[in-house]
Amino acid sequence: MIRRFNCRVLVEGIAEGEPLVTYDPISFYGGVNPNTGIVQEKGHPLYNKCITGKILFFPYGKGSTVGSYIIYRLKKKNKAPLAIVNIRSEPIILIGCLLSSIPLVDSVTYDVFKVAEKAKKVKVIAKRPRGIIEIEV
Amino acid sequence: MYLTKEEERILNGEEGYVKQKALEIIVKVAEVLGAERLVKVDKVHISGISYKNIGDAGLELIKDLYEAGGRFCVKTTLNPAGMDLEQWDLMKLSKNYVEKQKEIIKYLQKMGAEATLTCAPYEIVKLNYGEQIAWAESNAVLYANSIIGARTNREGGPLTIFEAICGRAPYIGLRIDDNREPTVKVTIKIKDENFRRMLGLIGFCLGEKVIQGVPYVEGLSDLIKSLYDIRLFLAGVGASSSIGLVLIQNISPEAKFKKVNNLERIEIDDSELKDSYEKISCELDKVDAITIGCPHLTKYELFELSKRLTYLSNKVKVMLFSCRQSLQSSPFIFYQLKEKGVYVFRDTCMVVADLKQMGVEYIITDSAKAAYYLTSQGYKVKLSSWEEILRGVK
Repeated sequence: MIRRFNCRVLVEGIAEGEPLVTYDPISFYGGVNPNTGIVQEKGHPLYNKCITGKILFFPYGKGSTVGSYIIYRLKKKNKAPLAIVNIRSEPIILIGCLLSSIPLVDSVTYDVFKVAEKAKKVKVIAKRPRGIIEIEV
Repeated sequence: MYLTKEEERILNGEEGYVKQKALEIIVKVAEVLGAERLVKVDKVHISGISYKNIGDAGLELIKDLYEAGGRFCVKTTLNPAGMDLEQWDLMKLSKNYVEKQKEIIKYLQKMGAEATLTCAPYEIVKLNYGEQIAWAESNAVLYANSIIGARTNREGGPLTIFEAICGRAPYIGLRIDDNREPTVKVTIKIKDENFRRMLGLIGFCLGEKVIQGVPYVEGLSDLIKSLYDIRLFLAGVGASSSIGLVLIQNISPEAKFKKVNNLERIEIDDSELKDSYEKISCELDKVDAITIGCPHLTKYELFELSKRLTYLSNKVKVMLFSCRQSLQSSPFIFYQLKEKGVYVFRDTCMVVADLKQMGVEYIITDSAKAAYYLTSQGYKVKLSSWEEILRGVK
C-alpha cells in the first residue's frame, strides 16, 4: 500500500529512494563530512550513517550558515542526499538545496517521519503548487 | 510575494543568469521567513570567508559564482580571513592553506568586494540612521542596529553573497518598525568592581538570559567608559544569543522613543555574572599569550595600547588584532608596537586564525566573545578586563 502526504515545495524535483529518518536537527557544518556524506557529529542519532543517495528526513537545520556550502560540496562530489524532507526548513538548508538543485519539501508532521521510518521506499514529488510524499508501507 | 518591475526583470534573466539565480534564492528565503516583499540594500558585509571555516566547499562555490559571471552591485565588505595576508609566515600555516585563502579573497575581490577583512566594518563604512543594509557578523549587526540605528537582520554568510549580487534582502525582522520595539527590560545591577569593568561578560550574560527579542537595557551606560566597552558588550551579546538589536538607555538612538513600562523585567546581578564567567573562563597555571582585539581594535585603541605597553621581556606573547585600514592611517603605531615585541595581526582574528599552530594554548583575553569561541575550540582561556591585563603585562 502507498500512503500519500501533502507538503510544501521549496526546491522542485522528483526523487525516489530509501529513507533515512532522524528527529534531531542536523548541522551540516561540522556535523557531516563533506567528502563522504557520513554524519560525524558525536552523539547524533545518525552518527556514522551515510546520507548519500537517501531521502533524508530531519526536522530543521542547526549551527553555522557555512552548512549551505557543505551541501553544495556534497552535491558536487556526488555524496548528497536525493531529497530532503523537513518539518520546517530554514535558510541554511534552503540555500544549500537551491544551489545544488536538491529537491526540498517541508511543512509535514512528525507522523510522516514515523511512517517513513518503517518504509523501504519513499518518493518525493516536489512539483508546484503542492508537493506529495509517497511512502510504500 | 510582491515584486517590483525591476525585480521581475531580474527574475526573467534580463540582467544575467547569476543575478537571476541570486534573486531566486533571496525570494525563496524571503518566502520561508514569511516576508511579503524585498527591500533594496546598498551596503553588504559578507562573513564566513576564512578558509579554516568554509574550506574547499566555500572556495568552490565562490569560484563557480565568479566564473559564471557573478558580480556585486553594491558596496561590499568582507569579514576577517584565516590569516594576515602579509605576516602569514608568523602564523605557521601550510602552503596549501595560504594559497586557498588567497584564492577565496581574490575571487571575492574580482566580484567587486573590498578586502576590508574586518569584523568592525562600521569603522570603514559610514552608516546612516534608518538605512537598510545587509550585514552578517553578529557584533557588526548589533553595532549597526543598536548604536547607529541602521537596519539589518543577522544575515547568514552565504545569504549575504547573493544579497550583494542583487542588492536586495528579505523585508522582515529588524527591518520593520514594529519588530524594533523592546520585548524585555533588563536592569544591570553589578557591585563587584572587577565585573563592572568587564563589559563583554555583561553582554554575554545578558544574551544568555534573554536569548532572543529586543532587550531594553538600563543601568549600563554608567559602566561604559569608551566605544570599545560598547563593542565588547555587543560582541558578548552576539556570541550567546540570536539578538540583533539592543536598546541601551542613554546610548542607542532609538531607546528614548520606546515605552518600557509594561515590559517583563529581568535583573542581572553579580551572581549571574559569576555563573557566566565560570562557563567561559578558567584559572590558568601558565600563559602562552594575551590576545586583544575581538572585535578588531580601532586606531584609537591601538594608540592607547602603544602608549601603555612597555617593552616585553617575558615569554608571554602579546597579540593584537586589527584591520588594515586602521593601521594604514597611522603606520607608526604598527611599527612602534612591533618594536616593543608585540604581535599586531591584520586581516584575521583570534577566533578564525589557528593559534595552536603558533604554539598558543593558554590565553588571557578581554573579549567574552573570544573566550566563548576559543574555549569551545579547546583552548584554556582566562577572561580579564583590559585594565587588569595591562597592569599585568611586563
